[in-house]
Amino acid sequence: MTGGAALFWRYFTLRHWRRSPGSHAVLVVLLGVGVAAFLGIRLANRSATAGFEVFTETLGAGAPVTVESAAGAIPVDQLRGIRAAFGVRSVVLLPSVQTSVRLGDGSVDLVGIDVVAVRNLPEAAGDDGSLVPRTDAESAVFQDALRGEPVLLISPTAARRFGLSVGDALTLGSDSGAFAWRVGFILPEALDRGAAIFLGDLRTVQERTGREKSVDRVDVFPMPGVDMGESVRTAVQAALPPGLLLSTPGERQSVSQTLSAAFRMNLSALSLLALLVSLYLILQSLDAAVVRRREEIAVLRSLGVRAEQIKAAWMLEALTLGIAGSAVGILMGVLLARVSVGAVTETLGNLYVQGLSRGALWSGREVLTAFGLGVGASLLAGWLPARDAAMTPPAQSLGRGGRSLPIQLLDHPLYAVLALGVGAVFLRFPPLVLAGGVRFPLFGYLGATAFAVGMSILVCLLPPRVAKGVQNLRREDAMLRLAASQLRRLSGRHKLALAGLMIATAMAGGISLLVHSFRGTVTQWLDGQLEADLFISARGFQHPGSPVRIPTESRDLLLRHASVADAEYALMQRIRYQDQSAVLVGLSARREGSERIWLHRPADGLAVLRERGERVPVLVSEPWLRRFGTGVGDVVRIEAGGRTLEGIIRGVFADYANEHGSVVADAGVVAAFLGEDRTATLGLFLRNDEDVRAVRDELQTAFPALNVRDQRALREEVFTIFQQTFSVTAALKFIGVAVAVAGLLLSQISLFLERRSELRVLKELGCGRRELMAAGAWESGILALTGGTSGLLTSLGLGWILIYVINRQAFGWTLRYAVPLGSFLAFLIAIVFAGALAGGISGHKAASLPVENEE
Amino acid sequence: MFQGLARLGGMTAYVTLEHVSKSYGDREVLAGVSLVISAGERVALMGPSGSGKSTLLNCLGGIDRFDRGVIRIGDVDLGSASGEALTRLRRKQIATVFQFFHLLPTLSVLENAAFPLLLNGIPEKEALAKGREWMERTGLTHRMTAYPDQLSGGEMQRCAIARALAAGPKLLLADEPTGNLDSSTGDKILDLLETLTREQGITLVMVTHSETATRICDRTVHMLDGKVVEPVTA
Repeated sequence: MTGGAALFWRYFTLRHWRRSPGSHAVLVVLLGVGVAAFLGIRLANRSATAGFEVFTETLGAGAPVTVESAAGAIPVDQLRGIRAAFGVRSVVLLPSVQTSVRLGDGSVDLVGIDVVAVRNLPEAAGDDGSLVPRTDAESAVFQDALRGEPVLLISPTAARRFGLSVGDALTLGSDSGAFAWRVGFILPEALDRGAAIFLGDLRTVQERTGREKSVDRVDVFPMPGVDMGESVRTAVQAALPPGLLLSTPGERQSVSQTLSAAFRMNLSALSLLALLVSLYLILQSLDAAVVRRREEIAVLRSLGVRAEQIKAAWMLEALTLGIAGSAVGILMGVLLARVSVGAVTETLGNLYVQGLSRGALWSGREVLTAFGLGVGASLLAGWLPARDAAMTPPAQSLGRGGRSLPIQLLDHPLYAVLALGVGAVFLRFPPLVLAGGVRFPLFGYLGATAFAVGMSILVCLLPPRVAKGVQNLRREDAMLRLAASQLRRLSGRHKLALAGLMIATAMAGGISLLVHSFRGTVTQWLDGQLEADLFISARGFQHPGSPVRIPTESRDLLLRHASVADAEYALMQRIRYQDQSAVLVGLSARREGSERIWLHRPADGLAVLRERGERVPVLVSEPWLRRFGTGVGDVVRIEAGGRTLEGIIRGVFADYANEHGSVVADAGVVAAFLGEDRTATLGLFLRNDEDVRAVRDELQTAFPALNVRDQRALREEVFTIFQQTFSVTAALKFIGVAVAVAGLLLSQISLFLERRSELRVLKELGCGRRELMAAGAWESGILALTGGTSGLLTSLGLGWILIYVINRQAFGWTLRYAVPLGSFLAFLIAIVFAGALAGGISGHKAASLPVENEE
Repeated sequence: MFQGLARLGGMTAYVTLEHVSKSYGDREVLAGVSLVISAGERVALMGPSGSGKSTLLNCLGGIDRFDRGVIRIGDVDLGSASGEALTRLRRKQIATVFQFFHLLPTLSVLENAAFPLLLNGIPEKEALAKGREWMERTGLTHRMTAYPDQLSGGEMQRCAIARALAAGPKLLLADEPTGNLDSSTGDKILDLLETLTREQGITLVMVTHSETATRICDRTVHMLDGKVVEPVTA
């Protein structure tokens, strides 16, 4: 810090902060809220997604490579082929299964590992926290397990969560029944990653969960000195049986994060909006401070302080604010993350991977990023007021009247045309394709921003016309006439407030429109999807990645039930297709699916799946179409477990269940391909005279391992998840508009401060507090009406971009555009009311200005 | 020619105005003003509202530009001086006292007085010591730690005078310095201005509406419709 800057900082910045700590504390907290929203969401995201790795990496025990199947499990008979692929290299293979089992009313993760293999693991494998037994007690448990005793090693989190200690007995339920287990050992804290994990011997777990014929993965541990570098991995991959994939922990981490990357990116983009609205409010507040302290600045100028020094002093003040606000924001953000991580984890769990635990809540990189963004936002917000301060003339010139900062961008409609043109070009660009095939609609966001900026410039042309129209309604109202006269020649400050309000309203309206359209589309989709009376899945099943399934015997019993007239069921399996995550569905379609939303409907609907020909007829979802660029007539080739499924695409349907893409074939074909016939979901159509609820209760009692839900319950569940997913956007929408209205209030106060000489005249003419409040209310109310109306009109365009560009690029979903007219109207009334109220408050404050200050 | 006149009178011209004109739009506020002020001279500028005296003061202070003519302060030609040169001039040679005092609200009385010195790069300790001297000269020693909003009008103007003179200017511009004070306090402020400018040999140009205020000046220049209507010599 130079001597001059330090002088200004000590003599002015700090003094002003000491003189009015309250208002400066508010500014610090405002910036803090923006930083906190950004950091909190990022940390919660990070913590929730860290849970993706916890399970697999604990299980992986630090294995440098792992073999998994591209679709489904690895048949046990392929273990020999895996062994052979490594040739003469000395490695230990650690096969394992993982499955969800019932414990009490909930479900937990049960992992079966090959105890014999664990005993053979090289010593070095235990260095990074693997499961290699290191104590006598641990070895004894492994010995017991080897003898076939049902003992479990559990994670410290599992022990704490379920109140278990060594020697306790517990019952775990699975598709195959309920079995007694004993807690043999609690894993050391060093191995705990926040997940409730139960480990047992592979064979025992397989027998007790009906998984004797397959394993989920094989972790590979090289003996000391064995090279497992990239070239070796490439050679091994080539030698592996078809459909098996070799991966490193880094690659698996990338895949698991890819699953929810689009969701997290969009959440991050929205959290940035919170920071942007803070930036806007700080700009308004610093601008108001410049107006309040203009006399001081003018005196400094007359004392010989250079314009650049004034500017530097204000930038230093913005920097101080940025540092203080960011520091507060980091504290608030960590607290916010603690609160919100549960919600984010639950949402991610519902949408992507069940049973997520939470990772660490602290990340130095995220904190530094948030700090940098906070300081950057503050400096950016401080630039315009600093420029305005530097342009303040020396004291004597003040007598000529107030001056509002000119904002060139908002003065020329040509800039609007330019911004709209640039926006239109951006919208033509494809999304960025990141690692793992994640599609980020960067240009969509840029196009939306350019569109909003263009419209915010155009809206500055409107207030004089709106003011004239309103004035004509009440020609005798003196204060309205006064307010209208202020709006005839719009100041830079007016324009900034108006543009801010318009953008905030447009953003909020656009998000409302998107959510409304989404909800409408999902409702229609559910109508097509939920045709059956009852829906059945295994307890704990929530998405294709869930390991639990309906046992085949249970399914057959249900299909033969006396109340059931017809049924449809689906097999589901998460697969790797063209190195990306996707879903394979086997559907036993009984109906044509005429209620479904089709992008390309085959002539005979779902019945096409039953056709037999050279190639298997398949249907693909819209996200599949967009991610893999294949459409009707193209061939889909999936390999797994030494088998190949070659299908030809016959139709494309809308699917809002996942954004990774689904390929649907006949259930029998998929069962043959996967080598197993375990049903994920089952829909039952009851006979006409059956009482749905009674049958539901009867089946639920008869099959406690299954979840039996009627249509209504399932709908409610879907919409609960829907609400949960969009709860963050609703909060951000509210923050955005609240900040814009607060900006209007600050702006109006600044305008009154700037017009102090005019105020004295008004007071001398007999205007009291009531009249000044009325003048403020009219002025701000008209601005709010203009900003609100144009903002909502702009939101029609923003909504279009969100639905047809951003959403389609990120998730691959087509939504039906629908305008929430009722909520738009209510929103407009609220904005105009809030704007008028803000103006009234500023008028009230103006009436309290001391007369001696009004030279 | 005007400098020559001044020399003929045995004085050194410090401020010279030659045919200075300035207009705001169609309205000409200064219409060819010519004036010579000697070093150390105290001049009162009088005239009705709108006569151009405040504009003339602003042009002398280098905070307002003029359209035609020449203004010279010492050897600096204001018409051709850059913004930076004018700022330097305001920092080192010219000081202003305002009707409404314009003290810096966040600074104590002592800090207000010392501030121009700090601006000129004088170390804080030295600047504050010099500020204290000016507190004594202006009779504010007992109010040094007070803040502007705790002062009376007279005290505020004393503080403003201390601030104006602390950096040792050669020209003091005073814009109705007693206009916001009662007559008794105003008299004391005028006495203070006279004493200090005489002691320091500072040239004073004072805009005033008050005939009594002219008593501290060597001469009075009357202005009307942007022109000097009195003889240029005393």
